Amino acid sequence: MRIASAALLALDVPFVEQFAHAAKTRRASDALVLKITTEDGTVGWGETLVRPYLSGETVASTLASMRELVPRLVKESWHLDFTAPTPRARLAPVTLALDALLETLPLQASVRAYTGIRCALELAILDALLRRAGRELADIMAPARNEVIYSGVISAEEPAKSLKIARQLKQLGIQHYKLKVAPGTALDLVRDIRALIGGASLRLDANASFTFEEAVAFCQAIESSAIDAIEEPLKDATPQTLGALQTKTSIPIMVDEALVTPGDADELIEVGAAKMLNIRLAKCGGVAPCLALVEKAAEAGVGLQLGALVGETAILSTVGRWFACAVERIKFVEGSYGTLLLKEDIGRRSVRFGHGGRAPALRGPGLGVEVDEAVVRKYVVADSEP
Amino acid sequence: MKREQFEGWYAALHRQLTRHPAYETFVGCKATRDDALALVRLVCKAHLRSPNILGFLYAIVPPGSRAHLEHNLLEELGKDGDGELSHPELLRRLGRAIGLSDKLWAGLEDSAEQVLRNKAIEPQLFGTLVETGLNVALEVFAFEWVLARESSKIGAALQQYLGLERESLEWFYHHSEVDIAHAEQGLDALVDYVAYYQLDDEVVRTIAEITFRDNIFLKRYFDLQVEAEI
Repeated sequence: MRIASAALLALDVPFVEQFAHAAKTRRASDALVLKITTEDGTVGWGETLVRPYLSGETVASTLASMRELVPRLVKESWHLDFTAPTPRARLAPVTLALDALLETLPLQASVRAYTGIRCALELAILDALLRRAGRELADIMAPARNEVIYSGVISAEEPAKSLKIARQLKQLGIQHYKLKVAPGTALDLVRDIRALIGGASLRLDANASFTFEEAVAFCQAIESSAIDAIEEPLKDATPQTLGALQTKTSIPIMVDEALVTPGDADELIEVGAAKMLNIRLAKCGGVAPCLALVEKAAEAGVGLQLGALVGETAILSTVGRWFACAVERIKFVEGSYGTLLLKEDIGRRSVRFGHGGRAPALRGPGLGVEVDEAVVRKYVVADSEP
Repeated sequence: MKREQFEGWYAALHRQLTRHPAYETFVGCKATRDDALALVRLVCKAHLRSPNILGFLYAIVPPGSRAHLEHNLLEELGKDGDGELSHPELLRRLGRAIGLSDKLWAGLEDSAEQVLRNKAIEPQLFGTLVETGLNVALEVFAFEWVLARESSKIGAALQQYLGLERESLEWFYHHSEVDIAHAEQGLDALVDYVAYYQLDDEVVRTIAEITFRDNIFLKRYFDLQVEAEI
């Protein structure tokens, strides 16, 4: 398959409600959507979101990277190997070509890894390849379960509002909760939410906001609240400081911001810095790198969460659904808010979860999402066209 | 849950609407003709399938509220014996009056249909039909309550912006005249519903907060996301 054209579109889709965590308050999705058209007219769609504090990429730098890549992208011949024995091997021809292509990008001091743009490219190429072959994502990796349970996330708000959100999530039958915390978060809030949700699962996410001493004191103070994990507790974390914190608390530490590449995972696992890894398609570079991380976690006996970046639209939500259905060892799943968060989603089929956070496997040609291009175009604020 | 609580929520939503600059500008006839055309399209999208929604509510309301819902439903369908057109037909007449092309109109019908279809396909957010029914009832009766107070003002403004005959705007005038009674009965139906299904106050309040997360009037009629002040 050869690509005839590719356009990366930067969107600005308003949220129905602001979403806040320790580092940022967001009121709109800044998703980047990639449309590729092959020489035979097949269209493939991909998506990513980029964060300076993760890969170091920004919307502007990603659009610039795309402009750099298009001339080489169209020269490449793309294919999958459906006869290969494992999911990663089936993806290998795309993985190898894509990684070689990304190596041609000029190094930028602010960019740790080109995982964001890699995700958009990989998904769009996969979508087109699968559609041309009359296949779907299940042909890369078959589902191990037909339904996943999404977590409800309580954003960082005043305690009264956080409790109000928790009550609403409970009314919707949510079984897995995640509370955004930061220095200054009232310990009573954690306890009140625990009391409100009864025996449901509760995790905390500090978004790299505590000093070591603050994190130790906070974790020790809430250990009796049956916390299933605390995500990225430390600012300026290193594998060593995370490992040291884990020796001071019985609450399992989950790494997120500190985990972008498979190399990060090796280092974190080696020093025992995390009992859980939060992998995210857009953060980690797409399907193939996430499958590599799943293998590393399995070998090390480390738990897994499939997270999402705030503002993911139907494309990433649909691929995330497939990934979570296919990888049974993923314990917690996030995302798939659809129009619970976005004013309008770009897929014709709703992806949002239902009561209890339950959501069925989504099947369909390609990635399984039918993009409504008219809706996409309504929210484009910039693109990679020269 | 007392009637006053429901009325308090509706009054708060109404107050927020009428004090919002978008609404003040519109009914003050300081908006543009394009704004008026946009509002007509949004009203049509919001209400073209009202009979279907009322049909769902009719199926689930307690026996004591069925007569009220039946009357509403027949009126929406234009089958209450007074020779009036159905409400969707009143909206179609309005669409023709403002010169909406067949293609645009088909798009509106399709959007309205798509909303219903998605409701049927999407995993249900609430755990029981009773909770879903309350969510729908709160919204439907909120529209009756607010339209009873505002639709004639919106109709009059549209008449001025678009130079339409009053007959074309019958949907708006009809709601202001008829729905005064409906709006009051809607509050009674909510009290009846909550009592019949033995829903406790905390559950009703939480479902109301979910239903009215945004001000639904600013959202549906002006395409604005404004957190509701209930």
